[in-house]
Amino acid sequence: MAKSSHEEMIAALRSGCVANEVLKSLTEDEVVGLVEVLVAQQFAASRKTSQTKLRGLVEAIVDRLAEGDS
Amino acid sequence: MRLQKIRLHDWQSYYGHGKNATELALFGKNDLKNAIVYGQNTRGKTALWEAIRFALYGRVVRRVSTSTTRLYKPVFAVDSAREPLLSVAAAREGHFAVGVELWFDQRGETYHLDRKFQVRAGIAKPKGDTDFEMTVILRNESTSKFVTDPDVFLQEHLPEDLVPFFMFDGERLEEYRLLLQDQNDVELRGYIENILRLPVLTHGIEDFQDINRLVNKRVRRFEMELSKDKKLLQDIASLEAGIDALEDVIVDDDAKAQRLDSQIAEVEGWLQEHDQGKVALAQEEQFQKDEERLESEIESEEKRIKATLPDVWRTLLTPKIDAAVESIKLEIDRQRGDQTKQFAIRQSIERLGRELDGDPCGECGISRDEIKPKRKEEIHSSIAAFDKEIADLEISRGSPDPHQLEERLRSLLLMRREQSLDPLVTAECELLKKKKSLRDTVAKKDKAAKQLTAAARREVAEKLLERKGLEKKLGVQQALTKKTKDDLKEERSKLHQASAGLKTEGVKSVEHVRAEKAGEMLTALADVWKSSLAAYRKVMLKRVETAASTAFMDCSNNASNYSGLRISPQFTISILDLQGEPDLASPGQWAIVAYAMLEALTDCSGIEFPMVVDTPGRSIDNDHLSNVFERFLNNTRQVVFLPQGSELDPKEGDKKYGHRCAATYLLTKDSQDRTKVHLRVDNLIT
Repeated sequence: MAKSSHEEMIAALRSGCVANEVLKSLTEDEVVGLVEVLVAQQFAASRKTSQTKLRGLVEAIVDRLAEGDS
Repeated sequence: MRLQKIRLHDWQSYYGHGKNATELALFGKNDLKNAIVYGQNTRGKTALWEAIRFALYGRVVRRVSTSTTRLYKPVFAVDSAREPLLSVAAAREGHFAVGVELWFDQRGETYHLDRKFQVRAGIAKPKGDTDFEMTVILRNESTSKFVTDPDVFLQEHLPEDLVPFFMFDGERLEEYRLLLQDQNDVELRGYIENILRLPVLTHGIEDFQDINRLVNKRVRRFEMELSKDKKLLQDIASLEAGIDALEDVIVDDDAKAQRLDSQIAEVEGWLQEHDQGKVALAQEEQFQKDEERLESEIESEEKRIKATLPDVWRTLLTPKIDAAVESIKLEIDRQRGDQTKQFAIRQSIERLGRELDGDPCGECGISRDEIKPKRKEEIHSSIAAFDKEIADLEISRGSPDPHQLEERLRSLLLMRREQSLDPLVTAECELLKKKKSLRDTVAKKDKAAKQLTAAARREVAEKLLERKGLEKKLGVQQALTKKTKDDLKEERSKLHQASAGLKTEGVKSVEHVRAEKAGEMLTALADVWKSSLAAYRKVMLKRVETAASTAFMDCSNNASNYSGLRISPQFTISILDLQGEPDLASPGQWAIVAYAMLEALTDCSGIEFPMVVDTPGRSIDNDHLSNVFERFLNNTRQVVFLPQGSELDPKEGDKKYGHRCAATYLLTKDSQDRTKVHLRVDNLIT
C-alpha cells in the first residue's frame, strides 16, 4: 500500500506552516486536527458543522498562543 | 476495510433466510484474504456483487443504457422481470424480508453490518416498495458497541461516490476507458480529485477565508469603538448593512435552490418508482419524434422523386433506343463493308486496265505477250461489270447518308446514358425503406401507448413537465445567486478599503488583540493551504502516474513497445511509446489502462477497501486477463473476483490461484432457478 495521501498532505501542510512566520508555532497535533476536520467535511452532509469545528480549533490555537504570550 | 463474511437472506436468486441463509466466507488462515467466485451468466455473480453494495449503501443501481440516469432496483416485485431485491420465490411463499449481513474488519476491529428491508407493521401483503422499511445495524464486535449512525460511519470510510473505483463491473470497463480518455469529463475529474482528497485543500482555503471574514468583522467592531472619524464610521456601518443584506439574500437564495433541488429529487424519486411508466412515456415520445422525422423525410424523398419523374419517359424508350442503336451499327458496318468491296473492285479494274495496256506484270515484272482480241473483249466486259457493281455499291454506301447515321448513333448513345434509371431506383428503394420504418415506428408507438393508461400517461407527463420546470427555475435561481455573490464581492472590497482607513486611538482590549491574531492566523492558514494545493496535486499526479505505469507495464502484453503512461493535470491519460510520444494503442491496451488507473487511484487514495470485480475479463483478451489476475491476486489489497467460465475455468483458476485465496466458490442454479453455492478451495479458518 502506498503511503496514504492523508499523511502526504499533512506533511506538506506542516512544512508550509513551519515556513510561515505566523504559523510556525503550530504543533503537529494542531495541523493534524485542522486537516482531520476538513477530511471529515469532504463527504459530510453539512459543511456548516465542520466550519464551526474549524473555527473552534482556530480559536483554541489562538487562546493557547495568547496564554503563551502572557 | 477487509471483508470477512457475507450472508444473504432471500436476496434475489439466493433463496433462504435465517439458518437457511446463504453464506460465503472471504477471509482465511495465514492472512489469506482473496476469493474467486466462479459462475456462468445468470448464476448469481452480479447479485452477490450487488449484495455488498446494498449492505454498505442500502440500494442497488440498475444497469441502464444512459449512464447519467440512475435508477435503483425495486425491493419488491411480483415477477423477476423487474429484478427485485427480494427473492420472488420467497415473496410467493409469503416471506417479505430481504437483507444482507456483512462482517468486515477496520483498523484491527471487527464490525458486523446488518441491513434489511422488511414489510411495515400492519401490512400483511405488500404491494410495492412503499410497504417496506429499511433497518440497518452496525456493531463493533471487538468492543461490543453499536455504531450510532452506521450510514455516516460507512460514508466516512468509503463514500458511495467513490465505490465505482473499488467495486466495478468488467462489462463497464469500456465506460471507464472512455471516461479516462475524455478530456472534458468534469464529473470524472471530480471523482478523481475526491479520491485523492484534493477537496480537503480547496475547501480548506474557502473555509479559512469564510471564517476570517467573521473574525475581521469582530476586529472592525473593536476598531470602530476606538475610532472618532464619524463620517467613516457611518460609511462602514452602511457598507456593513448592505453586505449583511446581500448575505441574507444569498442565504435565502441558497435555501430556495436547496428547496428546488429537493423538489427535483422528490420528482426524480417518483419517476424512479414509476420508471416503467416513465420509460414507456419516453419511448412513446421518442417514437412520436421518429414518426414525425420519418414523415418529413418521406415527404422530401417523394418530392425529389417527383422532380426526377419528367425524365422518366425516356426510360420507356430504352428497348427502342437499344434496337435503333443496333440497327444503325449494322447499317454503318454494311456501308463500311461496301466501301471495302469498292476498294477491292477498283484494284481489280486497275489490274485489268494494266493488262489491257500491255504493262509488265505488277507482281513478277515480266512483259506480257500481246493480248488477244477475245481476252480484250473479256476484260472490257469485266471492267463494265465491275463499274456497274461500284456504281451500285456507291448508291448502297451513301444511303442512308453515313454522316447522318453517325449523328443518329451519337445522339442515341447519349440519350441512353442520360436516361439511366439508377438514381430513381435508389430513391424508390430508400423511400420504401423509410415507409417500412415509419410503419414499424407507428406500431412501436402504439405498443408503448398501450402500456400506459391515459391517467398514468398524464401523471408521468405532468411529473416530467414538473421536473423540467423545476430545473429551469433552479437555473434561474443559480444565475441570480451568482449575480448577488458578485455584488457581495464588490461591496466587501469597498468595506476592506474603508476599514483600512480607520485610525484607532487608545489601548486595544485583550479580545481585540486575540481577534487580530486569529485573523492573521486564518490568512496565513489560507495561504499555506493554497501553496500546498499546487504542490500536493503535483505530487499525487506523479504518484498516480508512477503506480499506474507500473501496473500497466506489468499487465500489458505489448509492454516492450511502451515506456509507460502519462497523466495530464486534467487527469487525461496517454500511453507512451518507446520515444515517450503518445501511442494510439488498441482498445485492449486501453482496458488495461483502465485497470491500472483503478489500482493506482485506489492505492494512492489511502482508502482501504477491497477490489470487487464482476466479470473481470469482459473487455479484455485472455492473455491480458491472466496478467490482471496475477497482479491483483498478488497485491496486498483484498480482491474478490467474480469471473464467468470463459474468463477463468474453475479447475485452472483453483490450480493457478487457489493457494492465494481464502476460498473459491462455484455458483450454480437448481431446478427451481435458485442459486446454489459450492465451496471449492477451502483455506478458511475453521
